[in-house]
Amino acid sequence: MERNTTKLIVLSLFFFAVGFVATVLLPFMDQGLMRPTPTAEYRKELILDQPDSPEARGRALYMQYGCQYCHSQWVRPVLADERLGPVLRAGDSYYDAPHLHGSARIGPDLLWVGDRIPDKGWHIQHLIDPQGVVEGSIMPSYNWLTEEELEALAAYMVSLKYIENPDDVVDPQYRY
Amino acid sequence: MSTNSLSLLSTEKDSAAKYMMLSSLIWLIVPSLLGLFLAIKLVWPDFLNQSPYLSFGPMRTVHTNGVLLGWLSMVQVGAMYYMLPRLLNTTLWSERLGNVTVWMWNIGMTIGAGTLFMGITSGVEYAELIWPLDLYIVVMVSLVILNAFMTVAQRQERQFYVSVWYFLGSMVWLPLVYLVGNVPVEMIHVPGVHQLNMNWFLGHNILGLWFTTMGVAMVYYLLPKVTGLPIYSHKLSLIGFWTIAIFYVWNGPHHLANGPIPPWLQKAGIVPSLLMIIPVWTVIANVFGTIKNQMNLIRDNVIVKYLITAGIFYLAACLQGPFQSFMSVSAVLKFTHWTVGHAHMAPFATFTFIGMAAMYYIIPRLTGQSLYSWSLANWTYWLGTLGFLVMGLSLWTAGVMQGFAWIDGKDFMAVVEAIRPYMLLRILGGAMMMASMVVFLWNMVMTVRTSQAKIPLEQSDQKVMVQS
Ligand code: HEC
Ligand code: HEM
Repeated sequence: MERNTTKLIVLSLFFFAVGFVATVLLPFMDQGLMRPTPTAEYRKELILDQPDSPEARGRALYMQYGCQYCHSQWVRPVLADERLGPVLRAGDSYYDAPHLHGSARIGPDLLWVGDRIPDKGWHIQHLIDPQGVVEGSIMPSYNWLTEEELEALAAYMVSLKYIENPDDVVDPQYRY
Repeated sequence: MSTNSLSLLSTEKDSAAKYMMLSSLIWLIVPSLLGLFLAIKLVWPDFLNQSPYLSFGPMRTVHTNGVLLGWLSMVQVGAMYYMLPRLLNTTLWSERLGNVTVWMWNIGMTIGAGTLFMGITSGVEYAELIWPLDLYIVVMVSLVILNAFMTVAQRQERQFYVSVWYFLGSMVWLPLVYLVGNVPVEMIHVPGVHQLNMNWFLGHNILGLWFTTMGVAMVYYLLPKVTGLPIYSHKLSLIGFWTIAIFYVWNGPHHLANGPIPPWLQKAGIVPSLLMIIPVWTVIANVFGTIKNQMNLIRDNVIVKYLITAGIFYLAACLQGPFQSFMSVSAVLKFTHWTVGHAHMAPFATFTFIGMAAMYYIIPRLTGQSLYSWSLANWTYWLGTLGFLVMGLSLWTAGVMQGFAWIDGKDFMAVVEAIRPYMLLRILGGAMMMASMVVFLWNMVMTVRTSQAKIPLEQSDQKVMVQS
């Protein structure tokens, strides 16, 4: 193999394929990961099915301005997330394209922000002047957005709420 | 330099390596400066926030894509264009094709940065470029791969030195990793959790099967060349290669710790993470084994100092990694600034250092000029190392504070206030890193531009040996 290119390539591809099948393809066989929740259905109707709705427009702006780099939408069954609302279920983001789960919490998690702050006016005011609304905030102002864009973002924020899920019988146990 | 070497698609020997490496400097300096701006924004949010194009989100995407797809990838491909032919006792199959990729890379990055600034993004972290640009990258990378494999095909040296393994492995894996992570979900429906999983398949494997393998190949080339000492153990380096090849690709799910995935998948990501200690240990053992009787080289030779430091930070990153992949640890550290500290250690303090070491070695050999200043190289080293330590330690401290404060149920803003001093320190560290890069740029520009008497290349090796 120390001279044979083909062997090197074939083996490298083989080991890659094994890991890929196991960690990326096999999960598609897991039914638990393939069932949309009522929350997902609600978001689908608002956003995926109506690409012109304010919520859909707001989601696009959220992506465009990279809110997801400061805000996760990902509540875990851990102590740190205990006060953030219901734990994220696999099916909750079933229809999301792309997912906006994020990887940082420079600001609070927004998975259920619509339940926490259902007032659109608050969101608009906060987007225009975060420091005016929350003293010492390090969230940047979005005062250069148009009124329509602010409305849309606020509508998207308010739409981020939990829809009762009959399957969610067991309360998550906070493990860590 | 002759005017000939400035022509757009030169066929001159090693011109592709030279232009790839020199132009990568643009993508080191500009996106890093944006990174410094981002750090400032996290303390003073109004800084440069007058227009949508300069707002936090778009600027962050240009920062990450710029340094990773621009600087790091380019300097590594440039180094491969230089090293691969020498390891195989041949020339690069096509310099012209190599130069085509230099242009494609710079033009693609410019368009990419433009679209990201305008907020045209796929929204997926580390895969933000929109699909037409992804296709462009696939074509570009295919040309790099073609050139690499044709160079192998025309080789005179039959035996593959370990760097060749690592280079070729990277060539095989990069396109696959990139494709999995960039499936256009607007067109092909993929459930959100699977997107998340594929997102981090890319996020993790682009590091492990591209930056890491290319960087390790460069170390295995540079260390014996610069020291004149043979690599401690060939066998060890091959164990390192195959453990990366076998286990790295399993690591993606550790980014989803405590996430909405089944326990078997969590474990499938955690166990291989622990095994990642093996490849990093082989590299470290080899690096230290090689110079163990001549430790003075670390003091006397700037390039060796860079490589050793890079190795130490590589080890540190790969000790942090498995630790973070435990669900209990992740429960505290995930989403905090800790991750950002970790995420800068390997790309900056390991692979950027290796890239710089490669340029100190290669650029003088390609221009026939000795390096403009080894003492400036030392400044770059110290500013970079100390700057990173200031930044890393402040981010890790802030991260641990955030993690435990959230568990205690502290008010979100109280935590933001509490870590503000560390965010200020991070700016200081970032400014030192930036200064280090500017000195590096200056040193490189002066090396290329100053018309000194040409020195024979063998001698420039000696120069590396004796000057600190
Ligand atoms: C630089 C990081 C950053 C960016 C970018 C950012 N935010 Fe924030 N956000 C914060 C911080 C910090 C807070 C907490 C302080 C506050 O409420 O202002 C916050 C708070 C919030 C809150 C209130 C959450 C709560 O539970 O109190 C909402 C809603 C919000 N942000 C929405 C957005 C939207 C929408 C965007 C994109 C247009 C955005 N943020 C971009 C940092 C950021
Ligand atoms: C080899 C052993 C390594 C392991 C096991 C490992 C593991 C991890 C883990 C568990 C995370 C946390 C993800 C999260 O909580 O969100 C992470 C993040 C990260 N790591 Fe590593 N790591 C390793 C080495 C490296 C290397 C070599 C690099 C760079 C070349 C790197 C770059 C990153 C980056 C960029 C992130 C940030 C991802 C984000 O934005 O959230 N790591 N790593």
